[in-house]
Amino acid sequence: MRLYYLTDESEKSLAPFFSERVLAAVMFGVGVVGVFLIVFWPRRPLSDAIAAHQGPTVFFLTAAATLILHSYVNLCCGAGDMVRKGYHIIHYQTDKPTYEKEIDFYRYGLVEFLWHALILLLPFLPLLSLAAFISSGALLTFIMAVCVLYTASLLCRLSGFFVYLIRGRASTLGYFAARSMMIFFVFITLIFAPAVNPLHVLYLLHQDAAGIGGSFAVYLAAVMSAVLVLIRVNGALVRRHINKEEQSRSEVQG
Amino acid sequence: MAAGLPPSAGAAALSLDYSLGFNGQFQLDRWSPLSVVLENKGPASRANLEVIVTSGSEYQGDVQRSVYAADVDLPSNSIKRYAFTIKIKSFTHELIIRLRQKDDIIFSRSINLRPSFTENNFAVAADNFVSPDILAVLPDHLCPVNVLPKFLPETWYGYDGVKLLIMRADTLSQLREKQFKALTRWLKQGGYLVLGGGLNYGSLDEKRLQDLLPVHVRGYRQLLELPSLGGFCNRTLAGSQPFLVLNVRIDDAHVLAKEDDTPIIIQKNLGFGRIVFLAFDMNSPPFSRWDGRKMFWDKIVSVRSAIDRPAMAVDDQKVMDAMLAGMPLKFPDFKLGILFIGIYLIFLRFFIKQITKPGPRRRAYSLGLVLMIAVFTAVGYGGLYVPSLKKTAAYNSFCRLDVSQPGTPAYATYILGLYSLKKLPYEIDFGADSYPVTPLLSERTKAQIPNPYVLQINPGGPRIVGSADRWSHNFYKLNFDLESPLAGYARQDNTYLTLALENKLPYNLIDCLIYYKRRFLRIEDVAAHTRPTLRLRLAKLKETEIFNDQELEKIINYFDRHGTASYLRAMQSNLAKDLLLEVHHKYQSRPGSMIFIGWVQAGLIQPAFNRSHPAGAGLTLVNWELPVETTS
Repeated sequence: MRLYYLTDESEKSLAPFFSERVLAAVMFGVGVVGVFLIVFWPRRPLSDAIAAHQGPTVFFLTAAATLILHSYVNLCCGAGDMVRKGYHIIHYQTDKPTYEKEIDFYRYGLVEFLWHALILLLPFLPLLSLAAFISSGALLTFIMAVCVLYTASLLCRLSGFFVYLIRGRASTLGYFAARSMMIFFVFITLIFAPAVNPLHVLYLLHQDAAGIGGSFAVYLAAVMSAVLVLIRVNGALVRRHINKEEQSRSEVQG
Repeated sequence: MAAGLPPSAGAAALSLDYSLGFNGQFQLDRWSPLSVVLENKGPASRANLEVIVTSGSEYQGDVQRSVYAADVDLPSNSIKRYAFTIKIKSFTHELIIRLRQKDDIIFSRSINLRPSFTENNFAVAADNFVSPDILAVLPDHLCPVNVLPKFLPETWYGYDGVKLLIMRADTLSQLREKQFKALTRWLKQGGYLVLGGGLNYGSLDEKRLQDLLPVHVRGYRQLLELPSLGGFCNRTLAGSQPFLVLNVRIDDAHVLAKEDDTPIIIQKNLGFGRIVFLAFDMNSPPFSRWDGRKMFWDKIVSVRSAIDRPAMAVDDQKVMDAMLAGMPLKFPDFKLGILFIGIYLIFLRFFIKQITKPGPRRRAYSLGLVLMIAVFTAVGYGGLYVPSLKKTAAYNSFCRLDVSQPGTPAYATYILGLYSLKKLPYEIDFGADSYPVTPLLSERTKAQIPNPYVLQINPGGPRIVGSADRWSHNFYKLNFDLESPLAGYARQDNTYLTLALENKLPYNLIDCLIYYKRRFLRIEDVAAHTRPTLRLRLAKLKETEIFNDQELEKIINYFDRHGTASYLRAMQSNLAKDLLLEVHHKYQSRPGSMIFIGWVQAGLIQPAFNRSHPAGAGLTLVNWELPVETTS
């Protein structure tokens, strides 16, 4: 099988790794996180922080900004929004099927998503690690925060892909539905289900609160369950699409 | 308890007795002795003996528990005594004495403190038997108590609330070595001991008494009355029967009352303290039946020495603020941070632009991008994190040493600040000496009580065991005395002011100043273990302006320009103004005194950290008052 996401930058690929738009979006995200880091860089003396018994919040704020930006980029990649422009205003009649839809999800789309979400996170790491250093966070805390960012972005990408599979990438309803799902997961759960909210978990990590391991495990279990469900559903939807394609092809040949 | 035994089985074989304060009485907010006697009739056992003192109000949310602990080793059929010196701040909470084996409490006893506290200082009669009559005639403003010698404190600060200690000379020999050392140190720091001679003058030759009071016995003298006491306390002592008084001589002592050539009441200073020796037996007639005893003891209390230490009253809060400002941890430089982020974004943009271009070099640029990310992560770690924050804990200490005239101990106030960016279990050893350890709370923190800690009393000295939170500070204050590390004299003639001094410290005295005739003068640094003699022309002294705001500014600017170590500079910048003003206000009306001020870039106590190894810095401020002899 060819790795189209590495070689094909046409509309046939949902989110090519070398797509100028995807990389420009990541560059923008890293720039915003850099600005966050500068704005919230602790400029008061460290002795003031020690005296007030309050460490800097820069790591939490930087990680939160990364979470929102990185998850959004992944949502767009999953929903196929990164390749075509203006699709949500004008309804395109020619929404070409993508490799992600045509090849078995477990062999192609899933592998692509797992890798791409990770690779897109890499450019944020120097800034995130610097913020963690400033906040004097433990290495384990930093790794846990990166896990939160990764799993949240993976969930967003899979939910974006789910919407794409249901509505296609040319649907205005799909456009808003995908974003609503992200808003629900990143913000709304903060109100009624903070245990599964990535911002809340990042805040707990920032505080390095006692028992953070338990909260992290609950979050990870909940998000990974959602990821697994979406993998199954997306896999089934892709399979159904492939079956449909094969059926219509055989009907045409017959 | 012993292995295999449930705690309750072992606890049944244990019994506990205690003696709190002085004969069960203690003063609030003062250090008090506590003796705990443990008897083990069961199998051998090891445990941790904890004394828990609780203060504060649950309503106000400032309940604080101070835990004093000692490791106990109780062989089978053994009785052991453990001495603590504790500070009780409130009588509303019970005092808890308990034995702990890991997480199991195997024995616990709660003591109601409400009936035991007194507001008065103590007049302690230390003897195995004291007639109640004696206690009844002691001054009203003191709380008279009879204490068995074995329950006297084992630390000098255990005498915190004691204004007068009365004992027979032979009682000294009954004290344990620690008790005797504690008594001696307390006396040198300003304690007051009245020693009754009695008739057994064999005890007066004993080494302990001779160390305190070099008594030379000439024999006895038989008298019928002591008219000299009339001059001492306005009441003559007359007996119906002849009685014996000791005829003694004490070197360098001052006789307060004498019959012909026989001293009856002799006073000798010891450091800042004072010992009064009575040549008669105060437990026997005619003294024990004398109606002038109340006046006698009132007079005895009034001759207690007034302590005039050259203490610099620098507010602990200001010291803590200065120590925080000088702590050896800092955030990475902001400008460096901007530079780092800017360069990273430029490189990232470059690589992203390159890899979006299709072509054979895309793979190389992709690898370059990953490498660049790794390099910048490493640079962030090595360039910004390691120099500033790699040490996630640090400490600094500030010691204020007040040196006075020869023969008196120097008195030190030592404050240790421990700063932690991460959760940090710590154990701090302060050496073999015993110190009163008090936690301090900075006003800048929102916390109402200091972080909890355990003061572990070990044979090797006290140890603070605690756990620091993230982004927290802990301050501990210790007081101690030591033999004066400075010696010398100051002399003025018509032309020169001469200062001869000996620095016995193993450290240089730097940024030295002298204050004389309302002027501050900078003098040379004094190297360790040297005896320099400095001569200053009086004309030069007079050229210097009398201390004022401009002079203060000049001195502070000098410190700012010449301070090398950042901790020294931070402390000087923060404390110099208050210090100099304090000296000026205190000594401007004492033209016959000179104040020497010097800084030592080391602490007089070297704290040893057992479970963590924070970076640290120490600083000592030496303040020495010495009289100026004037010669023509």
